[in-house]
Amino acid sequence: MSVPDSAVGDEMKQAKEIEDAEKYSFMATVTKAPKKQIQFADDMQEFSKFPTKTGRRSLSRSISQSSTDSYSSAASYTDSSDDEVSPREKQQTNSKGSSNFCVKNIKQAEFGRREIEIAEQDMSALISLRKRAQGEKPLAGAKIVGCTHITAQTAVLIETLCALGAQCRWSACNIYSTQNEVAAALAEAGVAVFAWKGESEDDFWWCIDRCVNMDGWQANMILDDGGDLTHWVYKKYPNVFKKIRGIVEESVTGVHRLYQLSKAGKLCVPAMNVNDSVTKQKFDNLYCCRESILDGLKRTTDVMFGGKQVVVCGYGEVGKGCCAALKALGAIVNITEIDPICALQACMDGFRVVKLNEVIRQVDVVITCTGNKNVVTREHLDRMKNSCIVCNMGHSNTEIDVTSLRTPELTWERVRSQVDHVIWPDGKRVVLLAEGRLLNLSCSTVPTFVLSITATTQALALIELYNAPEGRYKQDVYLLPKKMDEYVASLHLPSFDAHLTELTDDQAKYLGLNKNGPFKPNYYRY
Amino acid sequence: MSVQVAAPAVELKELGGPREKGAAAPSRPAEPGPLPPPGLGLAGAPCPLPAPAGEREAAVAAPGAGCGAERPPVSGCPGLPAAGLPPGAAKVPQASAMKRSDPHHPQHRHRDGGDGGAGREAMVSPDGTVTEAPRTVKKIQFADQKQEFNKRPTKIGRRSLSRSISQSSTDSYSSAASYTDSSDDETSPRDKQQKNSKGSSDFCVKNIKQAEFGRREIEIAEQEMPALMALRKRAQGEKPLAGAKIVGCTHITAQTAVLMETLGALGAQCRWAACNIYSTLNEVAAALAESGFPVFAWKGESEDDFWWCIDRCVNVEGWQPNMILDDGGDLTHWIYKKYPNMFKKIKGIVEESVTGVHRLYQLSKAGKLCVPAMNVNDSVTKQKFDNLYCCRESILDGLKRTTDMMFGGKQVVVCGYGEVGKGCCAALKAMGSIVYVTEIDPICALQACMDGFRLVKLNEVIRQVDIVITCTGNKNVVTREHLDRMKNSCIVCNMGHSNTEIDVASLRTPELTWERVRSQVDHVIWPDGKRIVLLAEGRLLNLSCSTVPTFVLSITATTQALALIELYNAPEGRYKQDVYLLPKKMDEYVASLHLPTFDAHLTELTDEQAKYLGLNKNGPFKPNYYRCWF
Repeated sequence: MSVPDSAVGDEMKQAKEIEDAEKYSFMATVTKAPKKQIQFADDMQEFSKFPTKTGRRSLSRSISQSSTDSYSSAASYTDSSDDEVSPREKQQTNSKGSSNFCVKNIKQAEFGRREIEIAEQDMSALISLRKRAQGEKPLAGAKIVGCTHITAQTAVLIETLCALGAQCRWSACNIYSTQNEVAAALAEAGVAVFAWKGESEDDFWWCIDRCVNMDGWQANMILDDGGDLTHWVYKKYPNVFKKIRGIVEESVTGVHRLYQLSKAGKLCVPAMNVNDSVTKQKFDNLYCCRESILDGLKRTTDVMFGGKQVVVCGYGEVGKGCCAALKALGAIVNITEIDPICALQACMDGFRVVKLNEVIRQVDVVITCTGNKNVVTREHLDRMKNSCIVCNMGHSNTEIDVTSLRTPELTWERVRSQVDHVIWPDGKRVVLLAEGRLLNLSCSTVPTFVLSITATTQALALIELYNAPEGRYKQDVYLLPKKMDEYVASLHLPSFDAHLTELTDDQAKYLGLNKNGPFKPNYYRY
Repeated sequence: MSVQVAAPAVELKELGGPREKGAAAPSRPAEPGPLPPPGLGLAGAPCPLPAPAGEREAAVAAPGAGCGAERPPVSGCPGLPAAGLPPGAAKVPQASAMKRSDPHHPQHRHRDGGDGGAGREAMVSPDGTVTEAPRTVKKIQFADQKQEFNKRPTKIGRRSLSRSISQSSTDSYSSAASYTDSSDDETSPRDKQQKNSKGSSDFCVKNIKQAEFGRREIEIAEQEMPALMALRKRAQGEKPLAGAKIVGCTHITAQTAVLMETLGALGAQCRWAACNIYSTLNEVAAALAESGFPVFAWKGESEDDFWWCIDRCVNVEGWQPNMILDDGGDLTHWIYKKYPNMFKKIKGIVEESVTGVHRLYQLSKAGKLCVPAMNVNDSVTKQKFDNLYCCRESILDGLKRTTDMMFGGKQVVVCGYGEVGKGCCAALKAMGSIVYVTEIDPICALQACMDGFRLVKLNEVIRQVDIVITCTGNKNVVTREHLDRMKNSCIVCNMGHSNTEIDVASLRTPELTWERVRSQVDHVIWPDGKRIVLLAEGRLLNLSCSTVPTFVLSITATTQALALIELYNAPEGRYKQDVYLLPKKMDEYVASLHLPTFDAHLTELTDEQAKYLGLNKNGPFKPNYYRCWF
């Protein structure tokens, strides 16, 4: 490692500033993010903004990408009691004598192992992938450098990759999301992990550098979440790309960066966009939000839904999920929508399509999921009835005009974590959840099953890229082949004890399909 | 015409025997009228023209299995029908063949009226036709035709993932009672001299005096087609179709009449013929003629009449069409054959049916398409209504009408979880049924799981289910083996593409007894006394035993109207000689015109919001690849 730590940090900042100033809003997210935790919501906003700026609107979001740190299912066994010594200063070795890692406390490994085992229960797809592919070791020889949230779910992924024959070095893509125990467990199991909860920005890049820059080991695959690792390798070790067979990127932001690179002709290896795979999108948006809207509202307000009047702004995938869940619990659901096709769908699904100001006086709950800004304005807030609940399930924290509530005549009372009462002079109060940030990330959990979809997709993308014959993938950004997407889904079917029907030869011929898929053309709308 | 040829060839293979065709195929225009006889393909096979009546009889007489008599909906499509064509004739008359095949259906209706008691048909009204259908021997074939439909796309590697119900279904449900049909005289409308109240005789319908009845039908239809009415109002000021001369060939029903009058209100001149020889509602045609539209159509045209009518629409002195609205491609074909020069003035073709669209793509591929064409069949809104929403309702309707069963607590297995399957499952679940799903595509399978349905293989549940519904588009999904293992009084029906999904042929064995217990309902009885209830002999349940709501047809008609407006007003160069999908924005507009029906209030973007999203305030709101309209 040639560059001294602090120098690296500074250098990077400079580089970033330059980029920021010029065209790459590229690093913006990362630079800001690590400094303050509060910023998290803003980061999300940045996330959404990226695409907007270039005129490509992201129609769905990747929840799984970054949500891990807010709910972190793992209890923090030891965090608060920890010493203040930076992990970088510590000398630690695992039980096999290796010290090729850097985690908070290797002794927590046992706790972490339990977390991983719990996660494995709900990630049967990865486990079955392990079993199915263990014989042929499709990743034998793969040297994967990864940068993702380090959680129990990621650990299952990493250990799956190892079981398939890969060597892995891993760092965290977020300075706060790492589960120390899990990192320790991975280190104990021999994975080179460089991550702990509460890294400084300097630590962050140091960890990434430790993953990439190692004597006698050169990565040939990249698994990235957010594009920081890719960016670092581009900046510092461009030669590494000579050996790299491909990049797998999961996040909206990272994918956007890759497309920019590709457009600029600077992408020198194939990249796989797993964010937009059909299966992952459905789970991140429709299915995940269908559950988390109820969960988030219950945890924060203990509200009962039956008979409540709810208005859901936006009837895209997220809105559809929210509406389905609320309807099932007996709520009276109204919809606002700008797109007539989606509006017509809402009608046909039995929801009233209204304008927000027509129902704002009477509703008990307002939920935004438009991806738009200022959908709920101060005017709307003024007209809401007492104890109306306002929350956001959309892209960013722009949907509710929260800043308009920061005026002297209104009193804010924090009644619980993530729950504010905003009190009007006449005593009316509005219940604002998570200060208008994403409810499902702030006040709810992302089910392991959803993360399993993501992790499985990533694993298959790595296998595909690593084993693809020369020439199948050029220096471009690809979507996961339909067939792999279908395979991800099929690996999750056993969880439901679902029995997929197979085509007979005769039927396959009649339909003009291969018996093993792909079963739908690319343009099919599921 | 190369195009046609291609299509029919396919069909032919499937066909059983040329039976009735022989007679029909060769028809030539008895009365060429001003035009040269429409001998299209016919040339090869000169034949005696069967009088319309005679032909009808012939059809009826033809032994059932082969004839596709009642395939109601599909009617629009030329390709299919060919059931009976003699190979030689095949190439040409595909269109005619098509016409021909449809006939039975209507016929049968006609007959019912006669024998069943005069009033009956009228009373039954909407679906009367359908219900009675079974009596005709022929109708069995219906399914085959559907199959043809599906096959074509498959063969060319483009699998049709959904079907277009609305396109042609009009004749199966035809909401209009036939006030006068049975009492009519037998004079061919072509031989009659008729004038409307304004003295014009530029039309040819069964009986202009029925206009008043037809007007009522149209008024009823207008109630359920608010979108077209709104379009009339909105666009009436600017007359976006002023100067348009539209020649059309569609089913002539009350719904079409609303469309036609809308086009007229928007400034267009229209001339219209029927795309199906049996689907015309005579009263409606009369009403249109009375209000000044040159309509050439009556119920029970002969093939010769059919082409004569089309020709009368196209070939007029001092009037040359500049737009074509087609359903099935026959009109387009005719113009290509007979008046290729007309295309010089034609600004575009709007085509609605699967078949017609397929023909256009073939033309385009062959480089022979010389004007822009708009494929309205595949618009998002239309597809959703044809499949998801329509089937969600018709599965319950169809089962109720045929079996009067109760759904609560029943165990149902739905084969296939595409759009149709999703609709069926949603409806059945809402009724309290226990729903199982079978699926081959793991993504759809996972969707089914997440929607709360048990995913099974058919043979795992076949012994215990009360209802089996197929909607896969596949063949032999329910085999004899499955049928053997079903429990007593299990109901088996098909909501999918064709009649291939249930292996009905395997049930035609000596040890099994078939009992027709109602129209469209057969009991198949095993030697041990077990019986299963087979609906519509495995043909499409929703077409055979249910109705297509006017609202769904309204979606289609509005889409057509907008497509015409778009093509007519598009600046030079926007559309080349190719087949286009309706622009997303127009698709959104179709949807928006239907929102007032639900008293739905669409939110508008503020300028600031539009800027934030990078959208135009008026749409389009989604990129073309957006796939989440589910």
